[in-house]
Amino acid sequence: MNHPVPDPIDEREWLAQEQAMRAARARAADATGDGGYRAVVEAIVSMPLGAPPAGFAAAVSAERSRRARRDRRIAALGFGVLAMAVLVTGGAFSVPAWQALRAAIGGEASAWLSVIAGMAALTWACRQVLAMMAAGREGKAVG
Amino acid sequence: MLPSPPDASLTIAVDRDLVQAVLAGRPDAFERLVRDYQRLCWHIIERMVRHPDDTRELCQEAFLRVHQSLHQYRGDSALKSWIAQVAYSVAARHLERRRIPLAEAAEGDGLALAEGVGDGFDLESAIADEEIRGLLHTAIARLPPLQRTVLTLYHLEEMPLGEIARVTGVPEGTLKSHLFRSRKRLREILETRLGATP
Repeated sequence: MNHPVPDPIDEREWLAQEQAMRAARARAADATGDGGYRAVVEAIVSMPLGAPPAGFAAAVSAERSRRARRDRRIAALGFGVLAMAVLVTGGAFSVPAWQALRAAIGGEASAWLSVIAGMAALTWACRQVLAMMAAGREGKAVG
Repeated sequence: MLPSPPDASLTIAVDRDLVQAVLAGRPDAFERLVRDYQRLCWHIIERMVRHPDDTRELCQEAFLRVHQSLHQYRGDSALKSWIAQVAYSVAARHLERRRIPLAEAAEGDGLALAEGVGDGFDLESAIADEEIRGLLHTAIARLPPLQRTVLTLYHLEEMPLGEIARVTGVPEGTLKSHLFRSRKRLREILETRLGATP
């Protein structure tokens, strides 16, 4: 947003406003200074202001946990869909590719490659499960 | 004698501890943060939007945004200012979506502010303090959102203009001008309605 260049202010009047504010804050008994500004300052500080309802902080905290759980579910669903897509796509192309790889690197090396790939997949799956368990624990604690 | 302000470095250290507790996911830390700053957040948003249901919803939104971006808090300034900044921006965006101007464009709409201030107001008996306050409260409520908020932060939260400039993103000189003109206009309304300075 653009803010227009401020108009020059009358410094003497500004000081009168500030003096009225200081007098009101100090609750000075003697009504020196500008009475008009004193009334203005007292009106500003006595203006009724609402307050958050009881339990507002707990409600906000619970809402944050609820949204965090929802986001994690969406992320997990996204990972699931992605994994399925990779499996399906991989399935369609893997047989000829696997045969070509075995022929290129030899039978024993390709077996070790399968083991490494399997361990990586297992690690990833364990991480997902642990993350979901942690999410559940956090939800219970805060919500 | 004015009360001395709390030690700024101590406040920032306490703020940092609270932020770290929230970021570490410590139970109840975020709820404590909300409890500590809900009043300030509520006041800013209420002054900006003047609608109780919107205030509640936007205040919640502001705290959720605070949580989301808390890792960006560097501890250079008080957490109070940082949270006030988030609350102000949430309220300002709400008003922009509704095409409600944040501040008046130019000088000279003081008459619009004064018009209707006396509605339902008994001018002849408007000499008691309570009635003068009522008159001014109505006039304050009719100020544009930015001016209302600046009055609240400056007078009630006792924030210096430099800090309000950080919260609102409005240059300090512009804020000083808004503050000066708002107070002057309120005083003029008082004079006009009562016929003389009280």
